Amino acid sequence: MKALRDLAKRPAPWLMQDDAPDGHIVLSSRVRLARNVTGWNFPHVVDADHLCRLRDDVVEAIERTTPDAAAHVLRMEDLDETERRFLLERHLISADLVRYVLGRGLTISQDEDLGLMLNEEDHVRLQAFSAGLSVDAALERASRGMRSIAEEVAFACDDELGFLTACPTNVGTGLRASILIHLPGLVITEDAERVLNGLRRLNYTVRGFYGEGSGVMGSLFQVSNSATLGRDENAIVEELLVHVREVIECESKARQALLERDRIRTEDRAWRAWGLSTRARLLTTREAFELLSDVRLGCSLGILPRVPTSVSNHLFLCVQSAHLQVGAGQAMEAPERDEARARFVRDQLERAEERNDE
Amino acid sequence: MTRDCEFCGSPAQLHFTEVVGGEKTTVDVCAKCAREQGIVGEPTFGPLPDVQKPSIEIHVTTAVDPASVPTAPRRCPGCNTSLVEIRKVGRVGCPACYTAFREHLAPLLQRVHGATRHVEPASTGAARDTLRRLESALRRAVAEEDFEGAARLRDEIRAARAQVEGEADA
Repeated sequence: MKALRDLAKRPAPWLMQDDAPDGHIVLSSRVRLARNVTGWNFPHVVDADHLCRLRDDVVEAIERTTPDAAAHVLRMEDLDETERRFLLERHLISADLVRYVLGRGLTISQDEDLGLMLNEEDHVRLQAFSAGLSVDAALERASRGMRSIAEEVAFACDDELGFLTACPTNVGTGLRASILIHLPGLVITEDAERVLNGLRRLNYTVRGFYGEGSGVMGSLFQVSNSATLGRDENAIVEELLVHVREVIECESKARQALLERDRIRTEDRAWRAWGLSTRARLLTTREAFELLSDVRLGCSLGILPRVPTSVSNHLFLCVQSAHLQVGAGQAMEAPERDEARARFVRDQLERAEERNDE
Repeated sequence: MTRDCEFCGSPAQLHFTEVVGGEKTTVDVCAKCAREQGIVGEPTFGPLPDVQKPSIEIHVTTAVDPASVPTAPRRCPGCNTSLVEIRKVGRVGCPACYTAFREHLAPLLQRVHGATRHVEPASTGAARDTLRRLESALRRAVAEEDFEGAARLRDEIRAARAQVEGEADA
């Protein structure tokens, strides 16, 4: 599908800001608002015909009220599995929308800073994305989008419980604020679990790059709020920011400690990653993530040639299997993907190095 | 046949078969989860079985008309989802489920959110949304020269505005 190939060719604009707040540690921020249309059962108890009708009605309403959120309108049944995986890798849809297709949809804004899932767990799940630690900006963007959709679509709401969602874990604000954070310092110093368990005790969810049930790759973690009820949106986001700043502080100290206490080993690690990632001819996804993690760390410590955070963010996104395939416009088996992945990493890093020399 | 608990995956000791109006739902669950999920609780099923005991079958047959069951409604009047199904999929079926199963959901809400109530009367936010929706409908009606509709919308807007302002003052 052409719309997706165009997306694959360009970086996700919200990942490409080099001066994003705390961008050396936080890749991106994301806010999701869940809503359901009044008068309808929640998606999992609605049959496919009605889901299609509801989706098409809501899409029309969005196109009228919030055209900027609907630059691309995609119906999941029109996409093949690789294309859906591509959207998953880009965090635009969930694993549920890769599996359940009929009557499901997605709208995306031109800049990809807004994505709206239709008939996922809830009828409407609007996501806003922004670079670095900027959850407040993402909340502002998502709220603005949701306000304008609400001009035409009435959402299920209860005096006592706030916005009603299919899963009781989302009622109230329907707000999930999450940040994608890179913690190689804490992982190497074996302090990550202690710090992250502290967050878990405070009722935050900590997961790997792909979210629920996924392992950790490249020392990348997603941190998000669990509680959605009993506090307003701003309070939820403010509180998340406070705790994430504490984690950033811990990570900064860990990185400093690596330089001060174990400089030669840290340099060795960074240069080995640089050597492999600029010379290897085959890379699996996992290996690429681990190397890129070390390269990103080595750059932030001033050990390696400067690779802008926008480039390393872009690399994390584009070395994923579906991105390689949609970008190339063809299906590839694992060995071909490993070759294409190694080539892509090499090109991007060499280009970044050349720019440094200019 | 051994079956695993649908909540935690350990061997199930309780197997529920619920039949409502000819429609059958089965749930396999271990004793611990049965208690935690509130599927089993006095006085309905009596004390829990000893964990060492072999598994037992409990068949619950609910009357065809859920309204005739004297206890809390076992099915949501809005979407006909039962509490057992909600526990099983972890989702309620429709907005009315929150009212129908309020007391069953309250402990879950408390556990997940540390709260059982929204921070401010959500009606204020909802009333604001209603107001905006009506205003946008009014603009459309005027554009389409539907003056009868516009007059009606103006009255509704007046009422909605009073509600928003009234609640903001409260």
